[in-house]
Amino acid sequence: MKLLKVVTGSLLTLSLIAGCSSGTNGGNVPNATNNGESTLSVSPTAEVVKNEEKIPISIAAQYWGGPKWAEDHPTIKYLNEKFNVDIELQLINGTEYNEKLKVMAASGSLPDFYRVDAATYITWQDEGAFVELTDLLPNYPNLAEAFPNDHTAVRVLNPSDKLYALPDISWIVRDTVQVRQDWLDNLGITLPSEEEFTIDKFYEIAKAFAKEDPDKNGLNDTIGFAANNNAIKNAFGIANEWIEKDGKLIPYQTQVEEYKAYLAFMNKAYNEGVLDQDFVLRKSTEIEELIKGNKLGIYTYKNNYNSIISDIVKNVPEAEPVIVPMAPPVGPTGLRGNTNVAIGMNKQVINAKASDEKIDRILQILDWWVTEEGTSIMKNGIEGVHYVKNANGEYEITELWEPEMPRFLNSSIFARPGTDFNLYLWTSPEEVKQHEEYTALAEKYPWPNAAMGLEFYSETYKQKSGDLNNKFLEATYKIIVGDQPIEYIEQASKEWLENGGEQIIKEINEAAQK
Amino acid sequence: MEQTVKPPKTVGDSSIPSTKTKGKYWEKAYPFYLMILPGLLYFLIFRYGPMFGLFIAFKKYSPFQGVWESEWVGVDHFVRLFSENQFLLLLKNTLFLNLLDIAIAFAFPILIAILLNEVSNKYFKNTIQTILYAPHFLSWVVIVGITMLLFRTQDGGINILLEAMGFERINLMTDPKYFRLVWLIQNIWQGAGWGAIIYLASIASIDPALYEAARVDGASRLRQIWHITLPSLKSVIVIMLILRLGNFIDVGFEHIFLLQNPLNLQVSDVFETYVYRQGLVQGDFSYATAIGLFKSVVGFVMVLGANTIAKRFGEEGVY
Repeated sequence: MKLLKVVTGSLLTLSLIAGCSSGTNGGNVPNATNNGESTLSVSPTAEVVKNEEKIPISIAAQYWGGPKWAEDHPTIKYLNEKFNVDIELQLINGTEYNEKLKVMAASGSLPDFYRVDAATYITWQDEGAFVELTDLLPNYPNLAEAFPNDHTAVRVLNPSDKLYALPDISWIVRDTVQVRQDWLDNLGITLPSEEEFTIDKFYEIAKAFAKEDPDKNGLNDTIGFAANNNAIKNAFGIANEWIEKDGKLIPYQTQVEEYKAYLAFMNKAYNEGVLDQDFVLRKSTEIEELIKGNKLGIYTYKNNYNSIISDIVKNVPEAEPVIVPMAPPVGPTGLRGNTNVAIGMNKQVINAKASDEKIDRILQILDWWVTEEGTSIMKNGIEGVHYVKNANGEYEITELWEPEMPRFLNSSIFARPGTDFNLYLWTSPEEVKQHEEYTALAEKYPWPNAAMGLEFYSETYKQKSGDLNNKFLEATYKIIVGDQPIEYIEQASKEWLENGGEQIIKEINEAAQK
Repeated sequence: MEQTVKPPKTVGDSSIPSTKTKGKYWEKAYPFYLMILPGLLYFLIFRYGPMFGLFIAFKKYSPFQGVWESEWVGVDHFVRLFSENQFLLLLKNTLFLNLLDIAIAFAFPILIAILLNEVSNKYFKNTIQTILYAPHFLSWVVIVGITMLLFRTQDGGINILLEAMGFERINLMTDPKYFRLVWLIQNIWQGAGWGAIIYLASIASIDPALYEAARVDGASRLRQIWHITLPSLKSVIVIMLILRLGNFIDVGFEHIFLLQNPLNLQVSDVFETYVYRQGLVQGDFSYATAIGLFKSVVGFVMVLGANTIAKRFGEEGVY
């Protein structure tokens, strides 16, 4: 079936060559082919007739929920026509994505354009899995401008003279603590100011949320707080992976004193029923469900409260949720912070197996994607289908906007650098303002990883960190649920160091010197 | 059936067939060989063919360089496996879970088969049998999901009930001391009814004259079970046990993986989950293959050993 499609497709295009001038295909390919710089072996006629051959392109994207794109989604149709390609979109469940990629690699069926995480990126680039972009990028001026070669996020994880991917560049800090104002009002608690919001205040609010029926439904069915609140860890001074101390990089596993204070806090929360009693079992998507299900009122999350509010109302029609973002809580020693996003760690790559022409076609699409026009279509959808301009000159979404989710690719696989990917043509000025305030608040107390991107240059880290870190995590869990005393963390930290941690620290510090 | 198999047999009986009779033999027999062919091909292509891939256990396999280009590293992966400080824990957990399963869960299908055989009301018997083997068709995701819904500490139904009645909540899903129990009970619940079918079938083939004679001699129901049913089942039980021992180092990935969480890792981490982490999560295919090969060798040795022992005790064995 697929073969048939490809064959008929190419026959069709062959018969159309005559009518297919450079103008019809939106071909903004620079004529770099004639100055000899390009490594592309494009036939001489290509300068006259652009994109004459229909090329199938497979794209893999992480799917996290919501409606799925159909094969004949208007945006895919639009791209197919504009660039004379045949896009095959593979949606892979977000949580299984990285494993699935490895299976695809083993069976030789990796897509043409896909996203990899940092560890895979480092391993596979040595094995020649990706197209090298350094020489190609200057031929696509918009792309080259959007991803300047000296940007940290572009450079990170690449060898100094090569570039294998275009990174995600958006939030510096994405998440901050958010609280349900309506729950606070129900319980008669006033929203603490930025200075008042200490870790004890956090605990007090969470405890009230767990015990005093904040949603007034008469049931004891709410949870104080979930275990993924990084802001709490940060308040106790625990590193976001690595921290610099006396000129040396040290990992969080060695911060025994900080951990003792943190674990004492968590243990108390667990015993008093303030911390989610199933925190060990609960995955991040399930925590999201708790928020949407009106069960969790203080949590660390991203700037998505409008859609969260509508989800809560969908689940519990009588709820009137008001969500307020807050600065992260202040710890006992005055520290506070929101965990920084590991920027540039997600890499969008082109499969090295792709033909030169296919590479060109993909880069053409990306080059158009980062322009105003391209971003607008990839984000807002197609005018007349997903949104319309009404008589007053204002934009309005159509009923297809939600079910067809035209923003999906722009939020899942590739986007122009920036944090405005969820601001649309019809977003009200108040919402834009809210978005800006949110960003300013979240980024006010950054909590960066001092060794960002260096970890993957340590062989020991790659081989052993997974199991070592699991063991350390296991120890912290045991302490939180009270199976082990707080002092047990000393032993866990020692074991981590002895079983390979020492070597990891050494290798990371060596990598930092380079 | 008997008749159709006969012709090649009679021809084959004549000692050292001449070329002429050989030709005749093939003329008559080729349809039967053709019938074997699909099954034979299946085993060659899908069971024996993939075994060639095992040699990546001795290479540093990279999917992008391909099977042939990847570097040859000999037994490095095996050395790494045996020197891993996790190895003993993995071995201990795997063996312990299997011993539990063989010692306890293995007996349940036999028990169910014997009890069902004693039920005289046909409709009752059929209903019970269907109820018992239905769980076999549920996937582990569903079974573990149901258990979670019932026993989660925060919002599990049973725990809410326990608290309402004034008892303490139990951490059934996260406390390592319950892990093996939960695993075993789920195994029995899912597999016992289905496993009973083969025993029921062989009970059905016992000559009723034996029971009649026993009744005439005044043997009670229990005596009949002890002296007729169980001895008749002996060879089936031995064969099932030998086959079961072949999986002595397997515990089934899906079930364990779904029950696993950071708190019970000390008792729940087994070779399968380790292979998953190394092979799929970290993409170290060669290492994962080496572990798989190690497991297969152990399983093979177990089958051979069990079979030899069974034969020594005068049983038939699997070959």
